[in-house]
Amino acid sequence: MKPNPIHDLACATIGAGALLAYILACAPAFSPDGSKVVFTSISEQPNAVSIMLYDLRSHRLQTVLTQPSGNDKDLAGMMLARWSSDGKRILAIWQGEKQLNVLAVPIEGEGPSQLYKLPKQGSESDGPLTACMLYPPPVIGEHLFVSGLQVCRLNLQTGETILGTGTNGFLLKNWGTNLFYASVGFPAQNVLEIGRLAPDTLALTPIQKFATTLQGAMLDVTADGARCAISGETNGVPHIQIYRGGALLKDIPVTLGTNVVTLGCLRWAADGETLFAAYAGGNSNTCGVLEISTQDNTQRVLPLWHSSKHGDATIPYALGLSPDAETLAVSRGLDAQDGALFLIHLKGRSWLSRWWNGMKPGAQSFFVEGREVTKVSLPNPPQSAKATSARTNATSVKSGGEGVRK
Amino acid sequence: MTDVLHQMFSIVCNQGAAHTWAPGGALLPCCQRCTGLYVGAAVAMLLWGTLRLQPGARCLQLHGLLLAQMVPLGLHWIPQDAALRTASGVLFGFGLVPFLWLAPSRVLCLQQDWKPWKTRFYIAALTLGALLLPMLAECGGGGVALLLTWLAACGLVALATATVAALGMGIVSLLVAKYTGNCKKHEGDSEVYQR
Repeated sequence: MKPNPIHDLACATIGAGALLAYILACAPAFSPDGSKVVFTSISEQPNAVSIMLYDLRSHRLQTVLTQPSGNDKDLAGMMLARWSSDGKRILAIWQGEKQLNVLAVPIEGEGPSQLYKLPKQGSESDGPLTACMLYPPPVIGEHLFVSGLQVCRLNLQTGETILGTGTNGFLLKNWGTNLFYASVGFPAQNVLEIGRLAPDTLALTPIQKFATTLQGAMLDVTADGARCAISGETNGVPHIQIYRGGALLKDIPVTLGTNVVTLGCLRWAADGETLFAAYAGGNSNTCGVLEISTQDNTQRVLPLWHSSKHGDATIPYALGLSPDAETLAVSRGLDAQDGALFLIHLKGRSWLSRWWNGMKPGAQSFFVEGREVTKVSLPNPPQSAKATSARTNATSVKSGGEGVRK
Repeated sequence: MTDVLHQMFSIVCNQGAAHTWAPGGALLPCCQRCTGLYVGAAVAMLLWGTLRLQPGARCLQLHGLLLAQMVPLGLHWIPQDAALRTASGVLFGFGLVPFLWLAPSRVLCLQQDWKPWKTRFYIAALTLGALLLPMLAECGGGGVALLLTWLAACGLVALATATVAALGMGIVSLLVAKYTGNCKKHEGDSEVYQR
């Protein structure tokens, strides 16, 4: 081939263009996997609750849905947010007077929102119904699983609901297609049964059963279901206990000074060794996260904000761990003042990433105990909403599936 | 050093853990497709340098097809697993090199005459690379992780250098040819590029 500088430059441009197109398509900004956080917050509108969506890459905060809230006596105004398996829809779940409402909202404007109404089982005072709101319903494939006197499986494509056998408890969570339940009060009130629920047949398979003396307990299981962590109080002292095979494996007392500490939501990291627990109180009277290594019982205290009162009985936030286990999201969306979303970066970020994020408005970063934390301030609610007492809410980090562009 | 490489690749790759090889438990610094791309580009660059291949019109057309396969695979129009993702990266990496090789090789007078065995060797290396790299990443241990990490890093640096060189030398050649009036004459072979 005879030399032609125009031809050579055209070839070089094709090569460089193809490489640039590939890099842009592969760049972090284009990957939705774990790139968005959805959480519940007090709305800017009076007496309303919103589901907010925060994009970790673009630092964009947007309101997905706003729903009028009820009074504090019932659960009508409390909404939970979950992701659909493909990451294309947000599921807003809230309790109505006669049914549990599930609204599937597409986030990329593809198709209309769909509302599903599931029949309520029992009265609002029933434990399982409350647990349904404390432990966000798991989503596996096209199905949403809701706790109740009987487990309910909702097909998010067809709207078909199937009732399973009674668990006498509630669904804890899912790790992939492993779905776990916790059953309480049989044969004794303090006995807990942890087991696996088959997503297709809704059959129950017990894994372990143990008796605990902890009160006000919160639970979480490891990915294989073998270990169960439970947090609560005994004799006024908060403890985290880990059970395996029905036996107590570890008992970790939590002391943050001499003041009262309350433990909240628990989350196992994917490695099954690190445990995250929400806390409030302690000598510094703060709310934050405890990062506990179950191998050597070392505890890293990550205070995020000052608590409004000592030993607040209700931890006003929940934890969400990103699929890559690098970011822990903590929302303070339903707290009375200074609503914010906190993103704890569990893995050190590059100086370039920190610098780039520092350039974006709306988010500020600080370090606690060697962990970088990004605080995203939420819009201020009206004064009437500020008076609303804090409730437990849920934070869910998007987990993309095969639809992710890489 | 591995941390530095992870940071370096974080600029060009999403490093999604679900789509990243972990030979011997060590997570590679880039995703499966990028691993194929950069390792493939490193090997292709080595072959073009040592074999002194000359990218002719047919060669560029065939390599253009290797680039085009990234459209259906990269956009997930076709269902694919980890091996296919990596193989598509290898093909893309091989496809890029001749386009970036042309201008610098002419300016530096690197191209030589075409020989059949070189082509056969090149095609064999391309095929084996696309087939063996996923197997190596899946079955290999810590040594493989180290090897692939460094090959990918070499590929990234080589591609960046080749891109800058190709565009820079292409523009310079065009300007030189324009001022000497040889742009469309196609005469004197590579004399104009040697000035």
